[in-house]
Amino acid sequence: MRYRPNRAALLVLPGLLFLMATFLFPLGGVLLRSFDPEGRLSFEAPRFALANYSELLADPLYRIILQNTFAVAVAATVATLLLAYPVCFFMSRLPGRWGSALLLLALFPFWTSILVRLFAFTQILPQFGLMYTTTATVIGMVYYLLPYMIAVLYATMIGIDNELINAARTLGAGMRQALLRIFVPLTRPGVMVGTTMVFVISLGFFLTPAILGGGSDLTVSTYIQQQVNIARWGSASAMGTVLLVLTLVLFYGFNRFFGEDDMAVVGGGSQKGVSRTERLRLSWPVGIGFLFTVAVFVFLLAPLVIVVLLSFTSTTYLTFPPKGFSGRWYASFFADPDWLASAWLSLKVAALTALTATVLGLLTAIGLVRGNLPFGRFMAALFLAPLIVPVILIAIALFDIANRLHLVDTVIGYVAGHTLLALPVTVLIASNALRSMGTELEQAARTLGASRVRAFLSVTARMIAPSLAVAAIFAFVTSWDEPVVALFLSTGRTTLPVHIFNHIQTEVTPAVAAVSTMLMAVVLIGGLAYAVLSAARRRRLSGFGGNNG
Amino acid sequence: MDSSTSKAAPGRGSELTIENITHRYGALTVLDDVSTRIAGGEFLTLLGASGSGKTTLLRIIGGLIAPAEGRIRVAGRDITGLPPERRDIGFVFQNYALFPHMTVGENVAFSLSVRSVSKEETAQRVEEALDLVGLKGFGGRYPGQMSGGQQQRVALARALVFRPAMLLLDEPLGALDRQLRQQLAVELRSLQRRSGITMIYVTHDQEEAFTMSTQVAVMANGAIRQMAPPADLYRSPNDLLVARFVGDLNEVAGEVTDAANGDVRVDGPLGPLMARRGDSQVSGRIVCGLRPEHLRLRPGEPSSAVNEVGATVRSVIFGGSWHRVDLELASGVVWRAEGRGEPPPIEEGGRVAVNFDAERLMLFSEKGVGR
Repeated sequence: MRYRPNRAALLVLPGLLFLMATFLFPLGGVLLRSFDPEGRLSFEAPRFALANYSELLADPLYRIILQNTFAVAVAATVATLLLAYPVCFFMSRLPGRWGSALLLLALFPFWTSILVRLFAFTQILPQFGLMYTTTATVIGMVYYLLPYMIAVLYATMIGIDNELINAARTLGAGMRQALLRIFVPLTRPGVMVGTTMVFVISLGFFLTPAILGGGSDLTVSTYIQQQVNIARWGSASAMGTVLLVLTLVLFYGFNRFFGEDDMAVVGGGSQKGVSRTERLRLSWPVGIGFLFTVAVFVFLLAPLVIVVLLSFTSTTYLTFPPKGFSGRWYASFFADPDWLASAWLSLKVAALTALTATVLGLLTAIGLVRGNLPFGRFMAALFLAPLIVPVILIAIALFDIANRLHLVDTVIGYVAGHTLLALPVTVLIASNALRSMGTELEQAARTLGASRVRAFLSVTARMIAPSLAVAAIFAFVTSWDEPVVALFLSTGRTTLPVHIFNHIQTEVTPAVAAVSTMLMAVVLIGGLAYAVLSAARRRRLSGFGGNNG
Repeated sequence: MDSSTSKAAPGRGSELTIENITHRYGALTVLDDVSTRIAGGEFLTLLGASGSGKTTLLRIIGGLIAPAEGRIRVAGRDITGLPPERRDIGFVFQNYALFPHMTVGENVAFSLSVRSVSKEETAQRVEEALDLVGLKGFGGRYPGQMSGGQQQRVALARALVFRPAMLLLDEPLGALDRQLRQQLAVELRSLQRRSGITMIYVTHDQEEAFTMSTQVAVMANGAIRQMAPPADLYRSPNDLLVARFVGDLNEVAGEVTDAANGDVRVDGPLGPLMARRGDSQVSGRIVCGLRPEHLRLRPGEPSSAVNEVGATVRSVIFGGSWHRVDLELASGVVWRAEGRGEPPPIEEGGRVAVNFDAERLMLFSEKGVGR
């Protein structure tokens, strides 16, 4: 097939330029630094030496850090898989809407600020004497990773028709054999996708080990941050490059071995052919699934409930169970100019991020979907890359360039960084919306006399408006909750998550619990808005494109 | 067919007894005290509209649903409490339920491998089963690489390969196009006759039911309304509902005014009609029914003969080997006449005389229950 780019292809340019300025160029800078013996960045006279890398190999400390990072990631990934699998089995066998309702509940922590979650564990883990241990890091990571794994496995399992298990049983297989020979093999693609995704995320964890593991528990990410803090760019960027290469190799290897078809299983979550009319039949796997589900949901939701309870304490320090009942910590938030300033900054940054990420995402999506671009798949992958690259790396790269451009501590700096993080998802959502509605309706409008732009605005734009709203909400939340990039880009004016981070690091008062509770309330309201909008989107897009019916 | 199929002697299928089966989904009763018995080697079709309970009954027989009340016996043995894997009953699912991660050969071999059949025997029986359904040499393919009709055959081979005492089929032809459906129905019929296995087949398609079955049970509202060989069902339906479900039916309401010596006089909007029946146990308001092929047409106005009425021709359709005439009778009653070959010399909009034999006029009580 020959590619003849049309005018729509030009619309990828703004997004592409943005990606170059905030992603490719800064990461290139980190790469250059890693080859400079002093870790200096010079485009005029770059030096290429392997001193930093040979140091990595020579010093046993680095090997320990790498080993530690790997061990923790493997432990967290395995634990996440073992917990999520029975839960998803149970949820996917539930009749009607119960499964999707439970999925929403399981995703609630995902939508809650990571700092709220970490704060919860700083209050819970000491009760068990686990604070500042590797176990604490793993527990915190599993807590963070579970929603991802559950979402992926559930999407796979919901596509497995109960009738297949029934068929196996009429053919003489007992429940155990039917599960082992039919159900489990069919979940393999989902397990692979989920495990790879979770493992790659695990390698890049920064806040969790930094807060729960204490200073002693060095991982690649915490080490990079420490080195950048003392301006040792050489070893930091070499370590970062190693992390990046590892991540990319894992993804490449995954794609090579499991291919696109397997990936396709995940996104769809298609309910086609699933017989969900019959009631759940009690059997031992369902029983085990039920017990796991109860336990995992307690694990997922209890910490958040505890934070809410803590926020109403009347004491000046945190105790559990909380003593008395008062709203004083809410009052103290509104009386404290620092809290208010950071909240206001976060709000501004998040709103601007929602705007820029959605506009850039839409333009890019039109270019990608309609532009008939050469290397279209490569371009699409490029726009997804910020999702894959460990956030610590993006953070130091952005910090590096923002420093030189004097954008540290500015709204522009924050918005640029957060837009970069949100762009992959807005591009994805807008592309899916455009693809699923096709071009037929727009062509119909043009046969009726509308110009190309007019047809797009009056038909396509309106049809995909709910999707764009969803993208905007997603971008808003991404920015609103984002702590790592914001941490690196700030010196004095901090966003709300960074402010919470500083509080957790230094003095912990119940004010953090009150702020966390309010954040959760915001997420809950946003989640409801999202649910309403997605329902509207589904209504609009159903019946178009034919393949999503 | 080769020797492998002729080995299966007719009559080896098992007898099935259904005793007082009742099942509910919440407040909805989908099966209401259903009892019946079918002999070994029969081909029974459960025929009914969606929601009539036919699929639920089939799944209860297969052990995929536990009934709220009642018992299922195969060859006299109570299997109500047995899980599906211990029933030895083959099941062909509506969407085939082929295992997508296994080849066709592995799908067919599955039941043998859980029964620890030796490798050599498994290979041989899989080969035979695929040969039986006309898919020799397809064992290495994956279900996703096959057409709907082929997948259907694989499902059949998979359900037969372990030589079950009985085979249950849940609208297995529903997803296929008409021509393929007819062809496979004929194949299924001959396969059943050859092997003598008891088959129970669920469908809402009357033609399919009549093509294959030795017995047809018409189901409605969770009950079997009538069970009989297809010809009996068509000729003497128990009630209006069965008559309407099996074939086309021309209807007119009326009242019995005289019944003596098997001659019944019905007065209605078309004037007096005469029916001839073995018994005269009929009275009051009734519905008369006539099959389209029992109407005779003659151009012109009706005479005063018995069972002759006038009608206006609405449309004449010539289908090659058959013809179909839609008629509007005096009072706005719309009937249909069908016949073989060329239609009689009548014109659309013209008048015709319609007559029929008294023996052909069926009488149903208005409620659709009993005669």
